[in-house]
Amino acid sequence: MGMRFSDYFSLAFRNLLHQRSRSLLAILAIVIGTTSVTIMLALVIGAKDFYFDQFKATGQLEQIIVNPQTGLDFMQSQRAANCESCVKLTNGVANKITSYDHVVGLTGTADVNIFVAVSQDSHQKQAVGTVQSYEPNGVIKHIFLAGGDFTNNSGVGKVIIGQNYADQWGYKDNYKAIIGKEIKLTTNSSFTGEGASLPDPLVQFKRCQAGCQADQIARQQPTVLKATIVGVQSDAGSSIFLPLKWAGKLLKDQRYEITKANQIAYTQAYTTWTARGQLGPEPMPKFTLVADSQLARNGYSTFVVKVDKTGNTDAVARQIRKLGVGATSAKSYIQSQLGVFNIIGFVLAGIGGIALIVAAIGIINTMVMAVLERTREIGVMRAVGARRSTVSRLFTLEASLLGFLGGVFGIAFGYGLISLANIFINTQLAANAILNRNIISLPGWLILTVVGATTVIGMVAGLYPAHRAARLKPVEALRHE
Amino acid sequence: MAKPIIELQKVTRTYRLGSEVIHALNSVSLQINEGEYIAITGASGSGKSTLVNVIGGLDSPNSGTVVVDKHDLSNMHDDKLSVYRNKTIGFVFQSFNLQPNNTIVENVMLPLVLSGVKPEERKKRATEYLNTVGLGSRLDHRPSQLSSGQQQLTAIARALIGQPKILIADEPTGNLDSLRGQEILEILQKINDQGTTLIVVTHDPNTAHLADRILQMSDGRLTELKI
Ligand SMILES: Nc1ncnc2c1ncn2[C@@H]1O[C@H](COP(=O)(O)OP(=O)(O)OP(=O)(O)O)[C@@H](O)[C@H]1O
Ligand SMILES: [Mg+2]
Repeated sequence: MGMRFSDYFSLAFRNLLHQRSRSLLAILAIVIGTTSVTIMLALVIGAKDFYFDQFKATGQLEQIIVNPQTGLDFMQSQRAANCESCVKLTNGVANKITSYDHVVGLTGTADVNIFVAVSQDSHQKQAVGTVQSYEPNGVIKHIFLAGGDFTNNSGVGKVIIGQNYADQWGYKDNYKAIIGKEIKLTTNSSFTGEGASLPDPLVQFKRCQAGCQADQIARQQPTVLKATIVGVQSDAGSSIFLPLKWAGKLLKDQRYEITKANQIAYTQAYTTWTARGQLGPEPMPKFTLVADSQLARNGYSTFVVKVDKTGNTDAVARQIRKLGVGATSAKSYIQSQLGVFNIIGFVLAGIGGIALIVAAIGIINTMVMAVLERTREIGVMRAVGARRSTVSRLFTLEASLLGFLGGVFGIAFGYGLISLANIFINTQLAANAILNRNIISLPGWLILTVVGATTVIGMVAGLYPAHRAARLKPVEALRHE
Repeated sequence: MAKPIIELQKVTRTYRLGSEVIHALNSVSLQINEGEYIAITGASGSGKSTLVNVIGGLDSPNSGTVVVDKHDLSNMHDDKLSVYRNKTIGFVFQSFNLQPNNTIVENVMLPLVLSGVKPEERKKRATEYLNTVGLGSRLDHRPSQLSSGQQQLTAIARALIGQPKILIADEPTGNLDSLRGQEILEILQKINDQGTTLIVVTHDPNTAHLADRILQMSDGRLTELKI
């Protein structure tokens, strides 16, 4: 004895249908609340995922950035400058780190701040942004729009360019076409690394033998270096990357010097020459090209350390910090950044929550009205054998259905808006050649949670009206007009 | 040998209106046997409806005992009382009390829906009962599409579908013209002939005289007119 499960549903449905306009209003309120909650949560989740994916695609989740300086965060540490009080990042330090557990790879990086302009064919010259170098051993990964990484570290004259350059040079729709093309990199005028054309020291020596003014000294001229493009990458628009070995060659201070022995030899020769009445050609000092490695002097800009699992980055970073250097993981950085998203998410969901509370009050109102209107009907049901609990369940179910339907339509509506937003965002992303698509996402668990929540809200809102309906006495309900 | 099916002892039902206490039932004792046809008459406000509501489990007395078909209603839990209303009692009201949004057949099925009878089964039975009252062709009509007499016939079908032992009709002809009223009374008579105990509340002496016994209410007190 007792009403069948399916009959509760069909009765509840029919009752909602019979008071169509009022049900629709109650559902509409829930839809508004649900749609706003859904969109807000989807935005936050989507932004989080997008953010996360950016790090994931470039392998940064398994990375630790080691820095000569302590106390920088992950982002700062990637472009930290060398400093006086820092611990020098030498090969010795690198070897120590490589010996640690869970460390699977390491590359030194060096900033190559020697270029001022870059050009390709007859296309407009571009100013040079940051130029970084690394060992192409798989620790640092790029998102390539065309081409790929350096095949080996000794790739002198090979570069990876940022997307902006390719765009500026007119390869926006065909990044592939720029691969293998040559670019000309113009150095600043104090560049004296490998490839620089140093002024002939003898000419200079002759000119200023008798002493000359500062402006008469032959100035070092900018050098133009040629390089071949091997890849176009998307995540750092105006960056250029070089293989570390080439960078080592570029980061050299070269100059002509006269060694002590040569100086003595020259002085002797000159004295002899003068003593002989300046007979024959004037003896000239012998110049030697001296090269000073900046890397050896200053150490690497950073080490990028690859760890086997994201979960081990923090522990390894801690171990590395014992060497007196700075070490940060993307993981901890992301977590601190995600904290912001969580706060935004809570605030937005809170606003949506208030909308849902208002909607719940709407349901209470709708159902109390329904109880009043259907008092006689309740009396009839009671007279022919409905229990209090039957009446109570029926009204609770009706309210739950309002919540459920509101949730379903709200999700559907929210999904529609999200899809529209994604279409728009996707065109924007495509325009910027970012590979991610459908950034705002609506995961299944969110759909279930939201619909579940609105159903529960409906149910809770229905409790009071249902109680009122159930406590009606049959005779009194029947007498009600 | 007549078996008592309804026994009331010193049943009192009072209403309090401000400082005034109204005795709708004032120490009513009563015995009705199985299969009897009882008419209850009396002036308006004398307590007739209150009496049948108490018997039908729609109302509960302040004091006294009500035993129907061996059920003691006085201290019955609501759930059991609901089952009692569903199974033992059939109720027909003056104002029909049909659910306006439901079809005729749905109205008749309602007691079976509440007791969990399967959809095909209850539809079949409701159709049968509507056929016997002559409404077999109106199954999917709404109450508003029927005449008053047809609505009351529907209400009778609903009261009978649970095969109750006792059928209570509280002024069943009150809203009908005399011809329709006559029709209803004939049907009720037929039901009683088949063994169902019948209690009819009426103002009309002619109607009352159809019954085996006439009970008269006045100011909450009961007297027997004819045996
Ligand atoms: N809910 C109530 N509150 C107060 N008084 C009530 C209530 N229900 C009934 N009464 C009173 O109880 C008395 C009996 O009422 P009841 O409805 O049983 O009379 P009745 O004989 O059926 O009258 P009628 O012939 O008009 O239907 C009346 O005086 C009525 O006013
Ligand atoms: Mg009455």
